[in-house]
Amino acid sequence: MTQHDKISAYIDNELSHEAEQDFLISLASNDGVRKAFRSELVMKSVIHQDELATLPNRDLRGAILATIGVGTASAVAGEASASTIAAAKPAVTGLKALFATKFNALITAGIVTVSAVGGYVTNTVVHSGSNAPVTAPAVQTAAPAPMNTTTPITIRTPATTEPAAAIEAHTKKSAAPSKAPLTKPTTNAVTGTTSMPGAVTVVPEYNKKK
Amino acid sequence: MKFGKRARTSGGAVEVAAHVERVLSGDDSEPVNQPITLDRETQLFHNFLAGDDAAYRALYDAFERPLFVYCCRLMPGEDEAKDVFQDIWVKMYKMRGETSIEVRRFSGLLFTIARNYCLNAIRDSKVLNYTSFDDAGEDNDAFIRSRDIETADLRELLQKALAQLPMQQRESFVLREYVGYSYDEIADIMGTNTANVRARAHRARERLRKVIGAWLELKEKAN
Repeated sequence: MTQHDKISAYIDNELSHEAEQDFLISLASNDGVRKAFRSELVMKSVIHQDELATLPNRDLRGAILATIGVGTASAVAGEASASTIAAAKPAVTGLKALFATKFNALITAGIVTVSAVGGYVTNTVVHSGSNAPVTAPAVQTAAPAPMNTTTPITIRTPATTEPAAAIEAHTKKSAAPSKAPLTKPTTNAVTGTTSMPGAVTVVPEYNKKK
Repeated sequence: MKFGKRARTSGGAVEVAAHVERVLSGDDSEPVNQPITLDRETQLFHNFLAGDDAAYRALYDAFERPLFVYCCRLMPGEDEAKDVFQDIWVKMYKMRGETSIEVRRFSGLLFTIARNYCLNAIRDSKVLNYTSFDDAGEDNDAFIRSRDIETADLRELLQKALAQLPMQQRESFVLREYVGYSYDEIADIMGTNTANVRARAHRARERLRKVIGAWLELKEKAN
């Protein structure tokens, strides 16, 4: 066995205990063996570097798996969309779920109607036998609309409010200058009081003749 | 199709030893058939054959790097290595449809297929003018004397020196040093005996060591 073979055998851990001792002694004493052994260690290091640097890129991996049909990109996309859907599910309200389809909407409307009628009948039956005073129905307050609703808000004006046209006419009428001629005050010859024509004279009760 | 000679060989040796022991002890009863314990990769491969795609991806992840290194160091160029690498994995996937597959060791099967694909690709590309399948033409003194050794960095030098090795030496060396297989496993893959593989790997290592030693001497003189 040459010295080179001994180096390889030592690297592969194939030497016996005695042969290994002899090799280590020759390594310490022989310059040529020491250089060869150093080259072996450097080669091991370079092989390790070369192994780490030789990598298939991700495109190659994707191409192979896509060719086969196992597919990484589509699977990842599918997983991503599934997770997105799963994350979005809690945001769906129960109301949306109830009215998700027309069929669900019909069922929900029916249930609400039946429960309302049932409640009314029950209330009538319970209170018909007693002389309890009729109380005003409870005021039902509508739930506030959500902030992100897209339903346009209609501003209702009260029915008692004058129409805008009437207000405008009234404003014009009051603002227009009077074209009637100015009337002069008339003097009562008997009492000597002066009053405007057409003015109502209020006579106090105590001055009225009985 | 049968693979995993080593497992069968070692299993046979164990059976022979057990038979000898039974004969010596006077026990004439027939041995009970023990189920064969498969390694993890082989079990994954059986799962893949049964229709589990996730098992295939797990095998791909486990053997991607060593197989790619093997292809790159055996093939003359990286593009050819990528083509062969892709063909090997497609071939492995198509094995699902094949019947009567008996696999005792997945890694042996994979690298045996890889070896055949690499050798076929090298033959087809006619790049054998600088490689040889036998051990002839081992003298690489010309390479050591060339200017490559002065200019190349150590990793590039190693790759060039590897490319100068005969095919069987290179393959033994790559499977031993890069992939990390034992000589028995390499002998299974290459279809030869362990002594041949050990001798080829030692020769390849000695020649590469000379090249690196020459490079180190040049660097020492330069400094």
